[in-house]
Amino acid sequence: MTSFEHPPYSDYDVVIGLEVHCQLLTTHKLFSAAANMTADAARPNQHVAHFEQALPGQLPVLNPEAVKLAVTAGLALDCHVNLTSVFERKHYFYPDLPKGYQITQQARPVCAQGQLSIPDSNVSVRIARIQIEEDAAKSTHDDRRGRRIDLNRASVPLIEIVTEPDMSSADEAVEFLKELHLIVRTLQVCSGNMEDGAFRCDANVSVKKRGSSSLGERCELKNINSFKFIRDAIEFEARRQIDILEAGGRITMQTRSYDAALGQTTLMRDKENAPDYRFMPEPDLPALTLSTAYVEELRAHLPELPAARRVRYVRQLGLSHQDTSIISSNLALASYFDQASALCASPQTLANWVLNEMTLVLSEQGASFESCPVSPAYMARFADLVSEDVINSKLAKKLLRLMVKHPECTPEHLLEAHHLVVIRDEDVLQALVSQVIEGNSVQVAQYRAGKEALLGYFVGQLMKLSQGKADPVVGKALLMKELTTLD
Amino acid sequence: MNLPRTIHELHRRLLAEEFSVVEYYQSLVRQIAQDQALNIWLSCVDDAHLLAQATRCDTMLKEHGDALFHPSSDRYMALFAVPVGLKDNICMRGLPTTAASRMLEHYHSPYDATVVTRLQQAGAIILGKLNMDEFGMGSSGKNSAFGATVNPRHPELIPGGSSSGSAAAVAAHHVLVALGSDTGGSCRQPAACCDLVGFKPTYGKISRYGLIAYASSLDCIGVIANNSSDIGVALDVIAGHDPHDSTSREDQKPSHKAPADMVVGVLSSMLDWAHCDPRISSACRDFVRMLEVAGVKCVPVHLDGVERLSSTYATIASSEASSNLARYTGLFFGANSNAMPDLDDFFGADTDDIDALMTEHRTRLLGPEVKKRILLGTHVLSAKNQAHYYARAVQQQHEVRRQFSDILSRVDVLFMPTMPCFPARQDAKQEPMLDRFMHDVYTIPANLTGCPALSFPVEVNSPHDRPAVSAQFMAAHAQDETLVNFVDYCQRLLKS
Repeated sequence: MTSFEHPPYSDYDVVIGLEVHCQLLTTHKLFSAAANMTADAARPNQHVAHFEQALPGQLPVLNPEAVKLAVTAGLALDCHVNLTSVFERKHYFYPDLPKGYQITQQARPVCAQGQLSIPDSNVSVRIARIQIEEDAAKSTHDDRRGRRIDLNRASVPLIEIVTEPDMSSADEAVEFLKELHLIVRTLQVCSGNMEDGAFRCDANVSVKKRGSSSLGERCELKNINSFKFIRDAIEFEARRQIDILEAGGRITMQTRSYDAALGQTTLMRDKENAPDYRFMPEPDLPALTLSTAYVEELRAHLPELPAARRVRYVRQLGLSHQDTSIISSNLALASYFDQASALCASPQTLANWVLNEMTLVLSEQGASFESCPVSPAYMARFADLVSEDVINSKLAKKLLRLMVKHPECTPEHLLEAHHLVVIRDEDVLQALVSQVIEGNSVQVAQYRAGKEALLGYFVGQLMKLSQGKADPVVGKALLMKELTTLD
Repeated sequence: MNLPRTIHELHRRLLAEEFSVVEYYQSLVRQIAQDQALNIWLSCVDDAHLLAQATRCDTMLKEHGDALFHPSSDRYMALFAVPVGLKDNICMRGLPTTAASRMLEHYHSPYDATVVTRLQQAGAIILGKLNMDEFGMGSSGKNSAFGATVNPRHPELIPGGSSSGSAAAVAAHHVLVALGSDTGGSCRQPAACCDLVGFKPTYGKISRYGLIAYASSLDCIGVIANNSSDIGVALDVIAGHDPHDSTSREDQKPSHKAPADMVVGVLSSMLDWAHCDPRISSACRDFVRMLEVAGVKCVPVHLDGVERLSSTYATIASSEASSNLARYTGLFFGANSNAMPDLDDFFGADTDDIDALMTEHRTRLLGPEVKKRILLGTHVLSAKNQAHYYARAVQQQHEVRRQFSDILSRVDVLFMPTMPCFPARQDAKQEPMLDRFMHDVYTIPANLTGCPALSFPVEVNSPHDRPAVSAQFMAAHAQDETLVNFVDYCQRLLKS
């Protein structure tokens, strides 16, 4: 945000609200028995029921699974769950909407009035509402056959999460989205796949003179599908608006789209051309009524949320803030770490090894923590071996690679089989120390003449001689004794 | 053959072997062919298929005999061999489903409506699809893209609508039972125009799955027959909860009150309404006197805001129509497209101007009445008008519901005429839209409140140049069977 540190940009506050669409991970579509398989569909129009085709006489039947996921998301975002919510029709004519209307929730959504704190900040973003609605079909263009409609995505269940305009920079908006993204994946409410549009975002951006209490006219940026594009789009848009105001112009309410190739937002439609959606209650669906027991049951089964996990890592496991933030932002890693740390006496050691050496090994193999060959239980034992000094870090790196290669073997077994145990036996070490002293007479003389900095050199020689197995602490003590007492 | 007039008569004569099912259906086919000019049917099951079904019925009749007609028997088929017609807005495989619109001229539904499945399971034989006012909009039978329906009883008068073909088919003895749809009176009003019994159930009593929607919150599949007993038989078959229709009601037991113990509320505000033809109010009063003489307790009840009923209805119905008919763009099915939606080639427009394409289709393929209601609905639902029109209509509907529920907590059934006037002449010029809506004031309350209503002729010795005066009873939600039983009682009183 460097450019916003200087006038005229620094004279303005940027105000951002977000509307996030999450496709729900249900088995079936929102209103029919067709499979919800947008991403895996082998061919267009494979997962389509009569309802999605908008055939005459078809009626929607609400998928209870979608309701469950929507309420789960609402509870995780600290929302009030409306025990009675209603569905409405939002009308527009476009071939991606064969019915001519989208079934959504307008006047009374399933959840409202929540909040989500942006991690490592004191910003809390208010969630205005969460509504259940259906996705539209996909309209594509085929050079040979012209415009095509693929109904696989039609009526895929969505929740739209709408925030209040509580974010004041593109970075804040991105941090909020990342946290939300993590939450919906933690809940297994949404795959979070942004390229496929399973998690996508509209941003409402306005600017006002710093400190002014009245909001400026806002522009809506449509369907942005990567964190980077969201940051770029918001920054571009805020700068565009400030430039207009500085030039004496006025901001008019517009809907704009972000062109990633050009790095700029472009006009889709302005207020005069805003569609009239003619909202109307959906007469084919009765009000959605939920019982308190149903809501409380879902609340009781909420998994640990990222914020709670971070607190636990810091307070209970004593992890550093940095490690906490890295682990908790990667669900597969966090899950792996949680399983291992439950069996491990030294979580920080575990974290160090998981984040450094294990991550390195996995990336070398092109693997991830979802398919980590080393079981969490063995990884926990490994970390304990390291933290108990049974093995030093040099040997530990060898051991870890052996564990990856032989996932069926316990770390202890590999340790024995490959003679990776640290030499602590003083007699054995003494013999090695004597060899070092004998083989380096010049340096010994120098040391004795006062060049004590050479101690490290002798330790290095000892480690080399022992193939890294000598206990460095005991070895160093023996070396010092030998160097000072002889002659 | 002297065609049977009721289900009971058909079954009795079949058992007595007066004729076979095949012979019966041969007569029906002949009758339908003779009545071609009445323009009752939009499509018919082909004769060979029909006679094959009839032959199967004859075999069953030989095998199982009267076990087919005993409710306690596991062979029981309530509608065994009963010829049934479907209003052409009810989806059935094998025949086109057009809603009498050019928009769906070649449309074949790939699935059956729930009522179709239930009728067939009960032994009914569906003859075909019946003419109607396009998409259920109208009350004359003249708003069909495929020509007006003729009233078989009074050919110079309109047959009423929008279930014009349904009433005409029963009146012409082509079927014993016809299903129609009733959004603002569309079963009861044509039944009245053709001297028949027309029934609108409690909203949600009969599944709407497979009914082409006009105004979903008011639409009901209804039944037209020669008497209320046949209505009862058909109702028993097609009613009941359907998981495909989220607004379908859980089954509920009606109160089995003996007809003679019922308290009838006579809706004086309707009888005394200035726009009601005096011959109609006087026939209705005669009927009430007959009930009183028979010992039925009749009490006058009052309703406010009769005039507001039709604007409330027009606003809500046209709003929903504008929404429900948005899918008819001619892009996906019907119209120029294939008869059946083809998923491999679901949609391919060779133009990028989709708006122009949709506009062209809708302009060319929807009828004037349909367009008028879509425009009206679009207007009253638009962001700037919604609060003034749609929201007020919904508020008014709540008021109507409150009033009727109050009245129906004090009386068992509510009595009022079915129509304020007699059917217009077939060749008369169409009246302005608002006047036409005013003709529906008596039938609208049942739709606005979701209550069941049953219309039947109450006038004895009516003149030949017009249908007998019909009136209707309305009852509280879920009291459909009570209503049918009570009207059955009334019809027997009228006969004696």
